Amino acid sequence: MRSLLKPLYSSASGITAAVLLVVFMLLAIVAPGIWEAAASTIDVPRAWEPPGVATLLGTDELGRDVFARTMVATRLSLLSAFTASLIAICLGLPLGLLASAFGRRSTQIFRSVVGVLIAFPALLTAMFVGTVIGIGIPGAVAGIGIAMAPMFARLAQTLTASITGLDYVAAARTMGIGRLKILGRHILPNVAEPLIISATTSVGISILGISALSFLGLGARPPEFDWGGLLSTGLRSIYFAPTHTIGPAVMIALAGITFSLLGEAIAGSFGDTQHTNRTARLARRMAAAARKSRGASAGPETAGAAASVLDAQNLVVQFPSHDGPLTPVRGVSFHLAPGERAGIVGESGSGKSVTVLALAQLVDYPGVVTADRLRFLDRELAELPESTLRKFLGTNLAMVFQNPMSSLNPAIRIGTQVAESSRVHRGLSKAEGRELAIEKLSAVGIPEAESRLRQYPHEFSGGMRQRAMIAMGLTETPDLIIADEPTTALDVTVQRQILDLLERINAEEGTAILFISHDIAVITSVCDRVIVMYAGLVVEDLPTADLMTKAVHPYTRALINAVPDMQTDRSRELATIPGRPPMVGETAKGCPFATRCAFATDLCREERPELLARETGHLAACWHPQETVPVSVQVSAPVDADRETEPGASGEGDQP
Amino acid sequence: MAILHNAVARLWTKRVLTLAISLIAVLTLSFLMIQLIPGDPVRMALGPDAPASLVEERRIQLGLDQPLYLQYLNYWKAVLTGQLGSSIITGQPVSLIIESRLGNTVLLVIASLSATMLLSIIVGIVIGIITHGGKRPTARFSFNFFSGFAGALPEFLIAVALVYFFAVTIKIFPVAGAAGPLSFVLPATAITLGSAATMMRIVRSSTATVLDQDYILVARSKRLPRARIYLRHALPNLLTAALTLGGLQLGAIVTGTIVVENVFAIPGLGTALVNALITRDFPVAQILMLIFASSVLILNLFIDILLTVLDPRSTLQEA
Amino acid sequence: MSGLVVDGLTVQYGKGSQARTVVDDVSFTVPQGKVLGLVGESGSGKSTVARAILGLVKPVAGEISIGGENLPTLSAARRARRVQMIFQDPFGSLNPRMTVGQIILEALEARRDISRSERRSEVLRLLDLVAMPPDVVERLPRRLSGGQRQRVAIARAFAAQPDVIVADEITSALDVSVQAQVLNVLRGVLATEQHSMLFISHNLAVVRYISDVVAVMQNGVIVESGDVEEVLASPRHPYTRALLASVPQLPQRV
Repeated sequence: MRSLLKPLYSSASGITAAVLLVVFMLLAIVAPGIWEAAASTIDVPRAWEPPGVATLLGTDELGRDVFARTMVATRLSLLSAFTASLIAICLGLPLGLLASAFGRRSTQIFRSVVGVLIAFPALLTAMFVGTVIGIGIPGAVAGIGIAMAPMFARLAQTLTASITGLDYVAAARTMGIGRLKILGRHILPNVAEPLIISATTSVGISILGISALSFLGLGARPPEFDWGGLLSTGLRSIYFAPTHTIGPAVMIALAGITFSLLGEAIAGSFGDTQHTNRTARLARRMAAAARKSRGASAGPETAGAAASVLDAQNLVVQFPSHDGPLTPVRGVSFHLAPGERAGIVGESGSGKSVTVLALAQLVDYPGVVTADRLRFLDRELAELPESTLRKFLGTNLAMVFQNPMSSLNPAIRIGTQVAESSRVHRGLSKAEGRELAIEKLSAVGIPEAESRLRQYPHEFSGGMRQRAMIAMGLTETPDLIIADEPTTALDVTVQRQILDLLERINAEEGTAILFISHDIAVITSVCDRVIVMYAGLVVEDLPTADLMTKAVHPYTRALINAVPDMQTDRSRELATIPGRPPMVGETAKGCPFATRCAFATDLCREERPELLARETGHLAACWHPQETVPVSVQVSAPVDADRETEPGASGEGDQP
Repeated sequence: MAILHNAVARLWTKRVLTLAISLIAVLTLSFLMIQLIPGDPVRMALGPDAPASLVEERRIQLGLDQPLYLQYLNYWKAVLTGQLGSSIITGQPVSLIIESRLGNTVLLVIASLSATMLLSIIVGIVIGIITHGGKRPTARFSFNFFSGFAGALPEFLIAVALVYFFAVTIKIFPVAGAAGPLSFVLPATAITLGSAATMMRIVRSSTATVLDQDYILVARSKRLPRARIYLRHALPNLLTAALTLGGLQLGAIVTGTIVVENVFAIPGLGTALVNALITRDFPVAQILMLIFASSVLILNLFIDILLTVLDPRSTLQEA
Repeated sequence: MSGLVVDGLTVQYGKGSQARTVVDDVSFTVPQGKVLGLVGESGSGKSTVARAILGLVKPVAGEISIGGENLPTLSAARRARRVQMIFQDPFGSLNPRMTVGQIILEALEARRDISRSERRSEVLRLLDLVAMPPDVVERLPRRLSGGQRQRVAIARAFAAQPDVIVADEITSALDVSVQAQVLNVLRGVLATEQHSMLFISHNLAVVRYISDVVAVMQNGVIVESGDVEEVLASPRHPYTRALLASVPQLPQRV
């Protein structure tokens, strides 16, 4: 409960809403006691008094104090609203819970019935129910309550259905836990929060709904009065006593807003303004600093190397956060020759994906990219004007992303998407674009390309979509394809086809490939070179041919030995790296791998090793390169569980 | 393709079937309104002082003396042929009431609906784009604040505020009646403000969600011009998302007219309905209820059709 | 402790003319104390086999028995003592509002052989078995890493002391360096506890490492099965061969 209320006092709107709520509650309790006499005593001689010190908003046609009436009406208005919400909850929740308890068929029927009911305006339902029960407060309350019930029914049903589908509920069922216990232990605690939020919001809706009915004359009837009724009386005399509408109007508006703010504050959607303000300021500062540093370092060109496809020196990517800047990429340097196939391997948090986004100039606000040198096809990207850059990258660099299911636009036909680049950058006609799309789709092995042009992505299988993505990249015969985990979402046999396709493109067109993967075996099967990244840094960069013989970084070696392959000795334990890879922002000074490394010394923990050339084409960043021991010999540290979350605590894992 | 056509056919059958069932349900409920009321509806309508002979005469006139199933059949016949009976109170034929008032209400609905769509889509998308990824937090905060505020205000309150403002201070627009197009400005504004505020919040968040999708990143990686990314790649997807979430909101506009017509004293179906309910003129009320309910159902079907046109996926997913 | 016998298992999704057979007449045996690796690609039906064994889907035909008891006819509580499952996604398989201790305690409820007072020490023993320090009992899952969560899930499955444990893609959501920890832990537990296990994975290398026998599934049918070394060294079915040929390999070790 405390966690639920926290957003209330941590945001300005939450505090406002809470204060207003308390005021309304107090008014509902005490107002009738204080103002009852002034509100209902008929005193005709004092009719239509203008606002003054004694009567704040004036008096009505029977000489009753309108301000007092407004205050007194708080109790009836709030009480009716709470009752209506309660009715909605009591009707809706059990219905929704029951619906998910029965079979799939009944759930479907339930959903379509509730779907129609929800789409049905509450006011009409309320009018109908109110008329049948009889015009008055009970009718209005029942009407609004019944009208809102479908909302709760659906909410309860979808929430329970989503939780019931989760594995922990399945786990509880396989443990033989009874239905009721599962409901009480696993489902209710996890649906309570959203239900409380919408219950809160629903009180606001009830206030407005009942006021509307009363306003129309279908709710409170004299001598009863609520805010809606007072407002409608006030409207009749708006020309000569305009203040009469102000009181009830303000109360209705305030009450409605209070409960909707309260709901949003509990949901926490408003709470983050201060944080986002701070991060936005930080983003501006970082961007300014980056511009400055770019001007400073754009000095001497120390190139001299052979022509390159990609040449990055000290690439840094930062994102602002409310705890200060986060740096997922902390100074990456590498070089890619024309036609070369290089792979970046790394685990989650290694910064490999952000690195390639930065290389492709796709890091969006609020990220800030800096580099001492970032050249593509021997042109410094920072120096190209926006319009040139667009066409330059658009025609020379192709990208393939991890998830073929979400990478294609679901609303655009495949053919249009494939031909789009060429039509935009080269001004091809529709017919030319079509021809090109057919050619490229056939080239990547999509059968009957002509008839598939008109299909939408959802009509393609995963493997076919990834082929289409590659075809889309090939239309402008690029010099480089950056493929970010292009096969991770695919089956092994499909993965093999995609890898073969990329190799073929490389062989036939001479297209350089930068392949990103978490799987070192996938990298070695397509790439000539392996670049190992860890915690935003390159730790080793060497030819694939040397990987099994000359890798010196303990992390590289651990990656090789930790992953079982078809030759792994089944009688031995796998080599393990204790702990887990650090998340962005968890990095300390020194070597990023030091905390998990079996060879780490104080030097490693104090000072970060630089990425140094060991021999031609082999770089490593390590204070204790393992050159004398063969790669496949395991040097394994214990499974040291506790270090993962609390570096200071002692690990008492089992010994190897 | 055959599979797809099959799916489309199945989806349409399902949609039309749902609509038909809903319409039958609504018709039956509106018929039952008279039956469900405790006591004699004619006596309630005419008041305790009306002579018994008059009450009996009206009962027979309304067919209330017949067995229930016959009344139900007659109700169906009446609705299908347009011979809708007449008011208990005034004896005026219901079809005449509808004829004279329908135009005003339709005008108001169309004006509010188009204003809401236009306003919410334009503002929602623009705010969604300029605040995407945490940019311009102040703009986002003000947008949230003002749209949240306006969205939490009911139509009748906004309407009263408009009347107050324009009746008491600046007298530009007429505040009552339906004389000429100018008299629809304030009522349409009253309906639009609140629903557009809610709708534009939905559009904004849909925009933000769509801009975070992988296919937008892909479009950026193809270095397409910004306008093309927003209009060609983002717009259809965000409209689908917004309509899916906000479609229900649009049905509320239809009933919003009931309230707002009453504030501005527009002779439309809404004023007639409220009047009939207050005076317990049930034959009029039940037909007007039926009209409002079925137009909401038909509007919802229309939104569904729009969705299937905008988003080819939805056809397959739902069938 | 007994092994698992699956005989003629058939599972369909949908009804009538729209029914799709996702598992078609599948039979296999997990010998007592052994690990059977079930390999296949997405859509092969391997996860459905798991869900049928756990009673999470109803088979249309076939027998699933452990120690002579037919699982589909058992009550949920009786079945719980026969078979348990470890799920793929460690972020979805632990209730976010229960502490690690409560999660494992819940699994101990199915046990009759230990008293209430022994439960706490049993929780600690199980955590130690999966190389987790005792102080995690008070923690909520969100404070654990993916690998740690998966070890808790392993401890939970073993807590009920079932005859058979079904592990469905339990390392595919983990980082490679963490996968090795989990596999080692699993091997260690299997060695000390003598359970039988059905190990489902799309990763041939992982299956090879952890299993004694293997069965290869394609389109709802088992196409080949046998001793893991034998099948993977000299596959006979073309699909098994295609699978093996597709596995990306590191260069030869020296």
